[in-house]
Amino acid sequence: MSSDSGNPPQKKTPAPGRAVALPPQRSRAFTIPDDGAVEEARQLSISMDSSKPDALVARSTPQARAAELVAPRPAAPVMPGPKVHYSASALELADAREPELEFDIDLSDDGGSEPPERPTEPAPPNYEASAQRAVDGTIPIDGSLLAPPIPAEARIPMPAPREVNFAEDMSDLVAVGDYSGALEIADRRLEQNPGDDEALQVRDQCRAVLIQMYSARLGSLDRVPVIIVPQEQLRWMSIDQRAAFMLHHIDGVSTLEMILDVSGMPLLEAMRILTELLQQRVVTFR
Amino acid sequence: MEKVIGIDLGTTNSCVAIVENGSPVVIPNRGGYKTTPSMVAVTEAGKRIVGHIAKRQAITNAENTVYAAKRLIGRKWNSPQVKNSVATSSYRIVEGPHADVRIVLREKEYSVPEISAMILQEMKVIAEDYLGEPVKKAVVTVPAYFNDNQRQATKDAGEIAGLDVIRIINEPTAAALAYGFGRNLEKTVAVYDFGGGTFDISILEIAQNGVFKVIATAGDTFLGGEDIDARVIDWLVQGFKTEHNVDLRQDRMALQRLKDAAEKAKCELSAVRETEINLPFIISSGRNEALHLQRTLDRKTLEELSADLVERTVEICKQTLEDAKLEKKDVEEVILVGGITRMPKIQEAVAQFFDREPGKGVHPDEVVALGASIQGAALVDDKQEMILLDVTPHALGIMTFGNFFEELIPANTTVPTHRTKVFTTSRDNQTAVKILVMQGDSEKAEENELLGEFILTGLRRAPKGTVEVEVTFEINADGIVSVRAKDLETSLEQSIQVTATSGLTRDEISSMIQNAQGQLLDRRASEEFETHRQEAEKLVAEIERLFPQVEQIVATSDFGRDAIDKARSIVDRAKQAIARKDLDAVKEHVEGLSRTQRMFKGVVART
Repeated sequence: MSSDSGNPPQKKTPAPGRAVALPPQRSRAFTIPDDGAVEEARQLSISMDSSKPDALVARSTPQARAAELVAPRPAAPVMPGPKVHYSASALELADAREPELEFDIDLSDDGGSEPPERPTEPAPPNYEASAQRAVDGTIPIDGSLLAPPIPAEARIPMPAPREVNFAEDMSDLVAVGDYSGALEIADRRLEQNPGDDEALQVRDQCRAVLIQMYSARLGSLDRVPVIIVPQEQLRWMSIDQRAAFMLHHIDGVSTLEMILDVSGMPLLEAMRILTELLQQRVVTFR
Repeated sequence: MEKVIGIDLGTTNSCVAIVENGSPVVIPNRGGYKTTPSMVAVTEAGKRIVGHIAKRQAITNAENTVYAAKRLIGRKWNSPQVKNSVATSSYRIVEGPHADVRIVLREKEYSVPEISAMILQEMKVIAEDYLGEPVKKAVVTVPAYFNDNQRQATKDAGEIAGLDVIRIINEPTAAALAYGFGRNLEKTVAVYDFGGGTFDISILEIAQNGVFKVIATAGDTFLGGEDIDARVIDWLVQGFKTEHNVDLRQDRMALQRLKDAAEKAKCELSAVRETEINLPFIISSGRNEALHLQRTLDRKTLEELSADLVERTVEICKQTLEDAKLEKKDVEEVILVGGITRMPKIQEAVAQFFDREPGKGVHPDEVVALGASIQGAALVDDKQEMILLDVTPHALGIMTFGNFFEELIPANTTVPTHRTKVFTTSRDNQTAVKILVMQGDSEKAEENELLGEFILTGLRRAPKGTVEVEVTFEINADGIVSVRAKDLETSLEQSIQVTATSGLTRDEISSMIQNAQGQLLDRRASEEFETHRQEAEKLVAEIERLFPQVEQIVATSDFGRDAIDKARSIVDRAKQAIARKDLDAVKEHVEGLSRTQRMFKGVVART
């Protein structure tokens, strides 16, 4: 469970080379997070679901939920040597709650050698420890702390998604308070069957709860948000195109209500993005 | 003396001004800007938004954002300009019940004067906020080429907005008024007005007795500063495509940011030689990789991108001077109007064409509104006298056999005026003639605007060409056109008075006025609630901050505990009133909260 749900964080590690959702804006460079990021990284809750051995269960973000619903990539081979660089984006400040990994792989030709054999089960990485040590400066983060990357030549097509019981998952997620997860499943069900009463009901319920949650975090809509990150530094933040668009509307004069009005996005999404920007300390209020 | 505001109701931006202590001043809006985009939108939540806020979502909510409504105002559904707008606008334009034009926003139809009224109402509110009192009268400017229907539609828009439009004046006239204000000029001036969406050139004579006469006017209603923005956007999109093979035009959010950045860069390049366009996270690539746009645009590149547009304006100037039978040397002063005229290349082109430096004594964004406010003040001040002498923007005449347009009053004729011509019958034994009164500049009747029609009957049966009918056109000082047809043999006559119409009935206008007033009342109520809510919330926060200290101080006293309970009750009730948006209750609780806060402060201060 995500730390958002109120449960204590569990020290679980992902299976090596398992399903990894790569957010679009992830830096490919090695990133050393600040203290806040490490703290947030500690909150990571990546658990192995014993009943679904191939899936990473991470419910705090849509990306992570997407990861849950697709089959994993096969185990990756070990790529020794200096060509391999990787970082744990989960340690980055912005989306520290996302149990996502990122690899920066030098895919240059290695002389036409045969792809290395896939390892059996490499030792699982310990993210918390590595993050803490990275911040402490005690040791550099190196490849031994992370799951090995997959070389290009070893990639194989992803198998078909496993059978998912949407109804069950949706109800489960609502029961544990993961409204955004439940909403995503409800939306997907409605795509397939627009008249699905149960999905409609869950969708409306989840939307209402989420709007309430975001409203509580954002406070009065009359407040005027301002950007506190210099323009030239924005590109190093872990945000996406939609968040950048939202930032485009923050001019130090417009109220939250105006910004929500002009964003052209659905209210829920606009509020979610603003809440995240607030949490990431990209914006604050006057 | 009653306050009269001057409003420049522009195609892309509007501006409001007033004369204060004898000097005209532009009134800034709440954001501090002196111009307000002439844009209206309805959001997904059904909220009506006007001005900058509407502009900022113009691309992402393109179907429900109206821009350049001025191009449609007072036009008939079947006019070529409307057809052009239907083909090029992102919002839906449909035919109205009186062959007029309607705009559909979120499934609701609005007439064009209604849309313009929303902009005028915004300008009215800006002025009222500034003055702290209601404003009722206004002088509104229109392009010199506007016909009577367009002028009437603009007046109707003012009425719907709750304004008594005491005079409609031509934009170049207003610019010249502001330019000549207090200078007692006697000159022939050219007003080069390069606006956001339109270009106009007008030649005026300013007489020493305060008479302003428009000698000639011409323009292009689809040429403006936004075309230059579009060139910058093209340049950015093309560069990005070359670099990343991604077409930014496919993404509305990216396009909205590009549009804003292009406009900003264009404005900046009037002051600096180069500017950086930095749009991080503009789009994601197909591989879900965040892409950033960062490019430097220099003034030279901008000039190259817009060179042909500037050249087009110069060509129109040339044609206008020829039409007016004037030489360049006859123009003694050139007045620049429109923000884009700050662009050095434009100033250079104008200077080169007219062989003189354009005047820089007036602010190009504000000059028209300032002129309107000067005229407004003159109209209500008996001491001031200023005569505005305007001309007919288009020729007036009748349709003759073969669908030709026979001109009686040429374009640019000073009003009041009257002209007469004699016509004959076109068929043998013709006993009646139909007089179709038209306005326009084309020889083909169907390309001109039909103003009205009437039939003269009782003609003598005779071979064609023998019965003579005298047709007289008369335009009075108020711009009302009268047409009379007289059978010269029998002296039988028939006449018509052409009354301009916006395409709306009186009932429709009344209903729209009520609707607009309702909207304004809602807005004012919401603003009043906001003011009191903020005050109440501030007091609640202060009281809650003091609670622990006061509780500690009065802990031993029963009387004190009672006071604490009462204070809690007031705070709770105030919070509830805020939550249910009950203005009266919030107002009422503000008093109680103030008393409580004073009491708490007193208790804390005494210890």
